Amino acid sequence: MIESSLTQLKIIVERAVRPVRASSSLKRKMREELLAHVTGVFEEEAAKFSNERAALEHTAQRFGNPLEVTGQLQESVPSIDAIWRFFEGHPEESMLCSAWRFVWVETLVCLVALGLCLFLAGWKTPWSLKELITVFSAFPLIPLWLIQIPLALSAIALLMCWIENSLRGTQLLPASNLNGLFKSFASAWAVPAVRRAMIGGGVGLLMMFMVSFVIAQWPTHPWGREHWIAIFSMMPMMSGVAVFSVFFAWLLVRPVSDRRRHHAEWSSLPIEKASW
Amino acid sequence: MEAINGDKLRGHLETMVLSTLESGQAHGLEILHRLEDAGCGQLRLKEGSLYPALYRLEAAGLVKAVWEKEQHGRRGARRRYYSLTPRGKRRLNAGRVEWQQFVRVLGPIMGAPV
Repeated sequence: MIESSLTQLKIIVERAVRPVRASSSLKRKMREELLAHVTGVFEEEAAKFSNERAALEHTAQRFGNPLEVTGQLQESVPSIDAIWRFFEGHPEESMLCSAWRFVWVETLVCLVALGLCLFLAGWKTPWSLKELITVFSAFPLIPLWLIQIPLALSAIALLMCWIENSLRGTQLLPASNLNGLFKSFASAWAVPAVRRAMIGGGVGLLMMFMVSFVIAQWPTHPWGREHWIAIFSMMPMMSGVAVFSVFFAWLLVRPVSDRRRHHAEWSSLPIEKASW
Repeated sequence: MEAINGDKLRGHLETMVLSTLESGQAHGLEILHRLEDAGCGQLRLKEGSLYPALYRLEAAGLVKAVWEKEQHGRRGARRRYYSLTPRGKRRLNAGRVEWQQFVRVLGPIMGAPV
């Protein structure tokens, strides 16, 4: 099969799939499966006609009216897909937009989790107002949940933007299991721009974690030798958290980057009229 | 004899697809060939309509699907292989009973008893 025939087959599929309101991952599944189907049909027709143009026309006829197929595909989209659509966002939106959505949704999830924990803790023995105030004041709960976690998530969001920008034009290895995931990470690490983003982002995150630790300790721990020892003893753990955060950011960027590349490839197809 | 097309199949396509999967897992195009073979060339389906039906069946847990691991030299895309789930088998049996009842009741009304 020549390249132009494959493009025409993609156009047959895209006419039906593009108007469907569904998440990018679901549309991707539809595209891939329908493309495999029309490719098989095209091969059957090409064997009959030995003329690629005629084979393409018959393939399109067998596939059916794209408008009808669009309607039927739309009906098959499960309602839970709306949640995926929200998390994935529009494929053409900026990475910054996706990253900030991640920040506020995660912050909201953290706050709900906090509320749930407090509720469950007070389920057996209801707390008095005095106990509740003690819990909130004894542990830096409010600064942790309202400032430090959103701040850390924002930093990870910015790192995601940086990694995503540096990944443009790079083909990542697919990962179907944990081993594949590490290989894919290694292939990304081999790209100098991605490596710079990961190292720079990791160092930035480490500094931010250390500064927020120092600030959280400051009112109760006056500067002195013991305080410095406490700060330095936190370095290995904070470094571990920073490395994990970089890996986590890459894990989140990976599918986004993949989706963008897929969307760019398919959205550039001219679906308006038959072009053979 | 006039071919049976998509409009006349409405409401029965999903049970027919389940029935084709009884003989083993298959990808979309193979399901279509099985349907056409079973229909002795009298069945005309708009092929794009098969996949929404498969997605509905999958969402309902009546079939399960797995992507093929390799493209076997085909360019473009991977196929998905569908197979019946135990729930799908139960649904197929129920669909057959419904169909027999449908024919038994409507046959005499149409003047074409079974």
